[in-house]
Amino acid sequence: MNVISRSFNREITITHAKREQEMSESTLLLKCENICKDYNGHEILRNISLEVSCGEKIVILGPSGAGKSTLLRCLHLLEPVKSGKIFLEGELINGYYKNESFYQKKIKDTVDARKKMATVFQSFNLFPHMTVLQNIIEGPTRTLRIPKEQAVEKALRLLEKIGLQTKKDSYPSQLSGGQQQRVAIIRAIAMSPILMFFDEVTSALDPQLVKGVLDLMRELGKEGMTMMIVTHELGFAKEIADRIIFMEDGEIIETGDTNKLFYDADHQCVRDFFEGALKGKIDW
Amino acid sequence: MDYVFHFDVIRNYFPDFLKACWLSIRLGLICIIITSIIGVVLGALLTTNNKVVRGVIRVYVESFRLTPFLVQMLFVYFGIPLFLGVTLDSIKAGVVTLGLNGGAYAAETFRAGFQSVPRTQMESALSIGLTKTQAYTRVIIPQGIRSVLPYFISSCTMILKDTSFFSIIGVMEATGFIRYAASLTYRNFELFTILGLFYIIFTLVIGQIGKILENRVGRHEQNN
Repeated sequence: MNVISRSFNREITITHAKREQEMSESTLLLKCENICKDYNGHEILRNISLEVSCGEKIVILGPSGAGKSTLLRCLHLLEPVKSGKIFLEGELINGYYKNESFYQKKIKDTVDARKKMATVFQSFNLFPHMTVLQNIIEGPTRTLRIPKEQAVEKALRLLEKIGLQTKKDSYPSQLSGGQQQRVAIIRAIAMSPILMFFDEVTSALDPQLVKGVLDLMRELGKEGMTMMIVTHELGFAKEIADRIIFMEDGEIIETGDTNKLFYDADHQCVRDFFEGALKGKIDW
Repeated sequence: MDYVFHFDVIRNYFPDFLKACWLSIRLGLICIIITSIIGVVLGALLTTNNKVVRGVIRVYVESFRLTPFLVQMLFVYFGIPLFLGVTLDSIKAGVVTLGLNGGAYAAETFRAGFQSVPRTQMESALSIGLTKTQAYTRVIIPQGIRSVLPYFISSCTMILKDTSFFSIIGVMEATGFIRYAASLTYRNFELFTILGLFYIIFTLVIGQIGKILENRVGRHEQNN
């Protein structure tokens, strides 16, 4: 009985997803509905709903502890959500609800969905026991099953783009922070993702190393990559963003285009944030 | 003291003693291999979220850590055949017990190592599409082993020395053989001196091999 009702539920969600897809524009890439997330009863995300279209660059701003990083991690399925639905290309990808087993949506599906997206982390998170080249081809060869020679060739091409081809046999510990972060971005790109998350990628870098990383992101943006960026570099945010989402206390307070949020926000707290930021009052 | 040393007594027994030493070495190495496998696998399982799995492993680990090795060995050698109705020869019984005993300690060691790998490494591995198992085998386990390798190697020398207990259940390894020779000649002091020297050399050599291994895998670990 239980099994039947479960699979029935799933049928419903699948048709629901299909309908959603038909209704929305064909370019809709990622959509999430009412995402809630808590750690030990402490609410991190409250009813987050958003839509990301193909090629769109979305910057998420907000004070520390607003849940920006957690949102990215949840969208990439690195952390289970308490409730809510995440659709990637119209397909429901998270099966982890309060009352349903994680295994109902098979683990394989979760992994498959993760592969389509890529995250670049604040602390680089390269694998310290692998060389730069091994780091980059790990994903493509192990999970996308691309032949090794092909993966290496692609990795070298990407490394050449960022001018680090001579470092291919170095270990991450032998690179500077900026170089590590650029390699991390390359590692993410090597997975040929349809959507990339950038989680405060420049926060752990010395000021003189930030530019190289941002330049690489600009270039990616120009190539049409869909990006969701959490950053504290307001200048960069203003330059790259098609749309800005402002979050505070786990909620989306306001969303809109760059100029509107920077200079003419509807909410007082958003205005305060940008005002404080311009005066350098807010602690990044 | 009017004791006259007769180290030449070993001469008659030397070829057989070497054979016994060779057996000791092989037993020690087999036990280290078993210990490593049990340690890594159970150590990794101890870091998972599955409470049942963790509980079962915990019972195994604690029951081996809280009882003396000699008792365990006698229990396996005399007790298990009665219970299961199989005959265990003394070498098998010894290897099984020492492997399980070492594995219990090693599981704890490796668990600590795997837990010392930053959580972000797991996230990073999942983010490039690895499955959880792949994340463990490719990212967490290689890094965790490196961080506890020095400690694990020193506990391996304990395992080598513990092979001397096998003589209690009648295995003719180095200690067993020397006890036998001593019972024939009453030259306890000389024979056990030689035996001690064997263990010193044996453990020193293994310790050195361990150091080389440590340096090799730890070459690029100066970061952070």
